[in-house]
This record gives sequence, structure tokens and C-alpha cells, in this order.
Amino acid sequence: MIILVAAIAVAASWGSPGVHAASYEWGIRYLNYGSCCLGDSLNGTKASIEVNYFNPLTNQCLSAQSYGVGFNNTDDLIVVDLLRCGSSTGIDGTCSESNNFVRAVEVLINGIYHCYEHGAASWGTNYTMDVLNEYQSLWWAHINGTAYENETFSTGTAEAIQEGIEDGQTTSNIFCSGWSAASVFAQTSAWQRFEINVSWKTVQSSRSQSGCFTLSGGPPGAFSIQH
Amino acid sequence: MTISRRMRYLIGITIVSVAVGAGVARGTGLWGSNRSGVAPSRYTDDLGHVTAVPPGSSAQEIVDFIMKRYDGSGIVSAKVGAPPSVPGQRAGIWLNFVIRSPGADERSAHAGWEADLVEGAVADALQENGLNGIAGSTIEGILPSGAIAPMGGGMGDVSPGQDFSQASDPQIKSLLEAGLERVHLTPVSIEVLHADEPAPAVIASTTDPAAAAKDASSTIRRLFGKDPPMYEGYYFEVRDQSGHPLFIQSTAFRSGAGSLWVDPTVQKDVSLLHG
Repeated sequence: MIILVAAIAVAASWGSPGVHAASYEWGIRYLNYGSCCLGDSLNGTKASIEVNYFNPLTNQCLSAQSYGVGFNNTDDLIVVDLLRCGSSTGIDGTCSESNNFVRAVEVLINGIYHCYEHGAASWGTNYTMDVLNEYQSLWWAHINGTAYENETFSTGTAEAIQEGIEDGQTTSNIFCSGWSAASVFAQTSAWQRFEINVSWKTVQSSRSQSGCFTLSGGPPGAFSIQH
Repeated sequence: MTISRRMRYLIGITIVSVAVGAGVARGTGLWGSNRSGVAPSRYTDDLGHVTAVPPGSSAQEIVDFIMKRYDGSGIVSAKVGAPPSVPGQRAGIWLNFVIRSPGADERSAHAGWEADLVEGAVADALQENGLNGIAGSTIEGILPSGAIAPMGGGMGDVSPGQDFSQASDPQIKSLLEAGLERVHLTPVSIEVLHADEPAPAVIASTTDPAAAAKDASSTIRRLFGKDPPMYEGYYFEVRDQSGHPLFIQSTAFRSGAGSLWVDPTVQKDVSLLHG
């Protein structure tokens, strides 16, 4: 559902410039439950993420993330990310509120988005980021193995998991110019998906969405996402 | 809740000296790496505040003390609990909140914000008293049926001691009423909570939902500041003329927790971002 919405958003994004409103698009590699992996359940996604630079517009946020979304679109979402917003915006009022580059976790519970900021991030540093459902339907977000927030999905498996960059702008259309981003995924830790009660498995192939971004490389190897 | 001005001055001087020496910028760490090995976040450069609690208090006594003074009504209980048995937990205690939940939806946003505020004040007080900070929290809501529903919970990595406005409640209310008038919103209610320093909760109404949604980001900056924020947290809800909420944003800068809910009718208009 999220992917479909994203595709619609991207398709509608290159119209006349607008002011206000919020628009989102993605440069991602992703897996959909039932359409990949021989029908395996999708219970986690993990990869190293290195961001070399994010230079957002003043009203834009750029987030390099590991992301899991369930089948209940008001209640099943967990994202762990490296995030930088422009000087006039932020995420949920507390994440990257001063144009700073931060580590963060966001969850969606009962239709309410919650963001928790987890300190400064460093440019050019690899972080191993994952969202993981190890038992029952409880998903945890991790950065370099440390557990942060969790989220209970309505079903254990995700509808989709993804690695990539989310681009949010407080405009009614997405602007593809005036900003830049460079990141590398799966450089020091391969992109892997988790099947509950089984193991992590290296992702061999995936679907992609580019939005304003250029994607190159893996899986199964490292891949870059740039703008 | 404050300590003496002289003590604050001395602490502030010490902290500023450390900050200058470390060459840090706002939003990154002051205290060096924290219990997670990362430079903690901060939302203001002023780190001279001390959350006053009775000396020698245990963690639960600190929670109880802050619960008594925070002035809200949304939290039923707050208890120190054990960390979940999941690998990779940060050092520190867990807090388990139970809140009043009219519904498992945006109607629980206000009580959830109260829990975020209390958690932040407790986290500061614990660290300032030489105890472990907070590694995480759970928030459960009691629904009208008596059923319990998970409402989330979490804890950022945030520097303790952030100092925000200490204006009086009447001053804050007056400031916010004037601010609402300037942005063409009508006050429905303004309350000020005191988990530590003042944190206002503003509910306002509009005759033009689309315009209010489009202006949400700038309105919040005008009412509550941004970089740095004026208060240790805020709750901001805008309703239409029938009393139906259009959007809600809440923040708690001592816990690094923020929340956003947007009604589908203004989703295409709102100028606030989620992830």
C-alpha cells in the first residue's frame, strides 16, 4: 500500500510547484511479501548505511533508512534512519529540528506517528540498521545492535521491507532540484532479510523505485543511492 | 521547578566552558558519548537546568515525585520496570505508563504526550542524581471498555539539563492567546503542565481547515519557537468548527519524543512532515 501510494505520489510530483502541504517520494530497493523470496515471511531487513552528505531544501527532510511496513496502514510501520531536515522543518516536531544529521526511529501506532531522536550521526560512517521481528509480532529497531523502539504489527510478517532514502517536502509537489544526497547501502553489512524462526538471508534481487534518485549496484552487493 | 539562580549560573558557566572546549554545535552531544556510545541530542544550547527532586530518592521515588507535580490527568500510573528480555538493550531503567485512552486513536495523543513529558523529566532527574537513565518505556492505554491497548513508548538519547522557558502560567497563556489571534485561530483551551519546566497544551479551532493545515508549520514556530524551542514540550491540536480534530503535534524535548497525527481530510494540505 505504501509503495503504491509512493508511486502515485511520484507520478504526480513533477507538476507545477506548490506551497505548503506535504509530499513524499522514495529512492528505494524493496521486497513485497508474496512477490518474492519463495513466499518466505518478511520479518526483518538489515544493511549497513553510509551517508556521505544530505543537503536538503529548507522545507525538506532526507532519511536513509531500514523500513518495515505491515498490512494495517494506520498501525504497522517501523523505520530506523539517518536523517537530516532543512532549517524550517523536522520530523514529528523532534527529529532533526535544527538542520542536524541525526539517528532516529519512527513508529506508527494507532494512526499517530512518533519519532525518537537518538543522537548525532556522522557523515561517511557505516551504521548497521535493522528493523526485526524475532518473536510473535513485535518489531524492534536497532542501530549497530542496540535496541531502541518497538512496534507491534497486526501480523508478524511485513507487507514490505525496504532499504533506501525517503524524501519528504512540505510542498504539494516534490521538487527534484536544489538539493543533493549521497549514500551507500550494504557496503560493510550486506542487505539481508529475516525469516522468523529461520535466519537472516542475503537479498539476491529486489524491486526498485527511483523517484528523484539514481540507484546503482546490488543486491546482492552494495548499492548507492544519490541525487 | 528551579534551583537557585547562583547555582544555575555556576553550572551554566561550567557547562558552557565544556561546550566551547569541545567545539560542539547544537543538536550534537555535549556530554561526550552516552550510554549508547553516541553523542546525545539536545534542542537548546542552554544546559544549565537541574531537575529538582528530593536528594537521595530512588528511581521510583523520583517518578512518584514528578507525577505529583506535573498537573496532568491523563496518566493513571507510572512504574519503574525491568527491561524486556531482548538483546541489545541500553543501560538504564524502563518506565511503564498506563494512560487513560478514550480510544485507540488520536484521542489518546494528549495522555501519551503527558507520558513523554514525565519520562523526560524523570530521565533528567535520574542522571542528575547519579542513577542510570531511562533505556525505554511502554505506554498502555485503558480504553472505555476496560481493555488495555498498546500505545507505544520510547526514549531518545538526549542530553540532560536542557533549560527552557520558566515563564509563569499566566504569562504563557497570555503569550499564546495573542499568538493564536495573530494566526487567526480561536483558543479552545490552554493548559500548562509542569513535569519540570512549563509545557503548554493548546487546543484551538479554525474556520478554514485547509489554511490552518497549510500554515501548521509556521504557526507552530510562531507559538512555540523552533531552534531553540521555547518550552520543554508542547501539545498543539487544531479543530474544525464542529470540534473535530484536524491535526495534532506534540513534543517532549527532554525525552526526544515527538508525535504527529493528521486527519485524512487535511492530509493533502498539511505542512508538517512525518517519516
